[in-house]
Amino acid sequence: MLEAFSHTCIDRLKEDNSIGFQGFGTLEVRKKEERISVHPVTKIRTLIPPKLVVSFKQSNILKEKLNSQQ
Amino acid sequence: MQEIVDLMVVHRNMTRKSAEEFVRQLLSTIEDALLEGDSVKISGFGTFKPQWNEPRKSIDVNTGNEIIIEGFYKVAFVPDNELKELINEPYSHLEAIEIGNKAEDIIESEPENDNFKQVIEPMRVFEEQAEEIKNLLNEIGALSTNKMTAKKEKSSVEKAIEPAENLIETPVEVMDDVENIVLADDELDNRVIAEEEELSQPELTEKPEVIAEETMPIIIDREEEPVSDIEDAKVIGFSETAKQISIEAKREQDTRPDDFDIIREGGKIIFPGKKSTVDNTHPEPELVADIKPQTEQANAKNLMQDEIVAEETLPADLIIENSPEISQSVNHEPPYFAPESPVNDEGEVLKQDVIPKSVVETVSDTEKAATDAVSVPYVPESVIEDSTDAVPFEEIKKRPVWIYILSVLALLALAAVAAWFYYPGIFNNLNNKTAQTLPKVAEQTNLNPVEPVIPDTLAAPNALPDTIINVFDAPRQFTEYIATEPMKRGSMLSIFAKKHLGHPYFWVYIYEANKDIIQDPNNVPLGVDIKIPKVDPRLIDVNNPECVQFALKLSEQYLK
Repeated sequence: MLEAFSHTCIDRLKEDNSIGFQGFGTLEVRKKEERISVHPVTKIRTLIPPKLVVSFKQSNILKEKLNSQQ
Repeated sequence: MQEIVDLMVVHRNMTRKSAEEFVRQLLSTIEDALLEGDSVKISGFGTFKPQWNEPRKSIDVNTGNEIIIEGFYKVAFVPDNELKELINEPYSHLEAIEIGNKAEDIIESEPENDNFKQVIEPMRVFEEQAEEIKNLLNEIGALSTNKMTAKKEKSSVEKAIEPAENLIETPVEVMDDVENIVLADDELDNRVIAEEEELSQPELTEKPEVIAEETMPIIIDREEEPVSDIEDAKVIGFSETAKQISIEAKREQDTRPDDFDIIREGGKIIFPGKKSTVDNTHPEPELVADIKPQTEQANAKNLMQDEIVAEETLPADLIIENSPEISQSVNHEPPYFAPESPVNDEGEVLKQDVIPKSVVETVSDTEKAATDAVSVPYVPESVIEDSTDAVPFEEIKKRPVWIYILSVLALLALAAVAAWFYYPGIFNNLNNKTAQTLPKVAEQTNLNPVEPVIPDTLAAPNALPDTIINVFDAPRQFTEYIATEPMKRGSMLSIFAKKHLGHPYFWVYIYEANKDIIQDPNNVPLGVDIKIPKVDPRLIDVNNPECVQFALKLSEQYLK
């Protein structure tokens, strides 16, 4: 079941780039642009390629629940 | 959520109810856990965890007062590796790479890089194009030689018409063969033996037919026949590797002069490239060494053609460079060459009828010289071979020539267009400024002429650097002013420079113009009016990296 859930989620994310759960939050696919990063110690400059990542943003309901409790 | 439920129902064949139940349950479980302060991990998916953010100071956007944002919890989601990979499939092939420059150089180099890229890019493109054209030409050359050898065996006798042109064919091939032989010495024997039998028959039949008046006296020395076959075998066999040959030929060029010297000295025939004496009775090397002098005359016309053709054709280079050595070696061996052969070093065109005559004479002479003349008759025989070639050969030979010419013209046209396109300033400078700027070679300041940073890339390197260098060197006097700016709190010379002169680095010129007012460029007195000078446009050309760099150097000097 869990597997089914996660697989479905992944497939959905690939196609639509975003899934919303009411009262919970949204899972979103975001693109990170390529960038040059410098290693602070060795000073080696590296070119990091662009990539797609999944990010989660909680809904306000959940946020308040969370903060009112703690 | 409903969408997920729907999808689950569709793909997993679950009842709608059970799917919905499941998802609801799942989410509430996760929530409860989060509220407890526990993180929830779903394998293959990711983990949800509550994150505590410390209180921090901030500013109220409306009032501008300082405000403290209280600490709070946040739900964070960290995807699993599986999920990451699956989602990132479109970019999965990319990897991080290291770049050379160190961090310190980033700031200085970056603005220049953009300009430099513009400059370097076209040249890099040209180099690539030049290489491509070169390869194309080599291929064309290879094709032509291939065709020639292919047709050799098939063509009927039309010798009288095209003996001269055919003579030309051989030297190219022979030269190529020579190179190849240098490299593939060991293979020779095998190949020769293998192909000898194949070729011997058609060649034998052709020979009697082909023998024109010129070639009659050359009558085949029966002993040498197999060797001539060898030569042709090589010609045919090696034409396939013509491309390789040209590349290798270039490599070999450097060794050429020495080899020929050796040939000259000893009178012994030394295998080119090997610098070791070879048994005179050894067929192949002699063949190689002696054919060169013989065919050098025939090279003459070929040379002319090749010289017309682009410099990029390697065979031409090869032949031209070899000819001096060849003729030298030739002269030292009288039996090989008739003195009246009008051969010049850089391949002056010989009359075509001269060629067969000299060949005839040399042959008849060499026939007397027994041992040394082993390979001489081969040349005429190779001539014979080629004289069997029909008109098609001439056509084939000529066709590549104009292709070469066209490609060279195309390349030049490209260069001109790029020059005009990328360096429009060049033409201006050439026309107007050269007379004026020459006398201005001024006193040397600390800033010595900034050498054109990328001299290779400028299309007209002679014209542009002169003018620019002189401009940079000339003492600057600012008499005209285009604007004034009052110095307020928070304003900067670089801002003025950007506004009026086009680039913040050009503040140095503003500073120079207002030196009476400004002692320290870092500390411009408030309330004063700064005069913005009219600066020579060549100095403040935003697109010119040299201008920017020059201004930068000036700024370094002033900011000490």
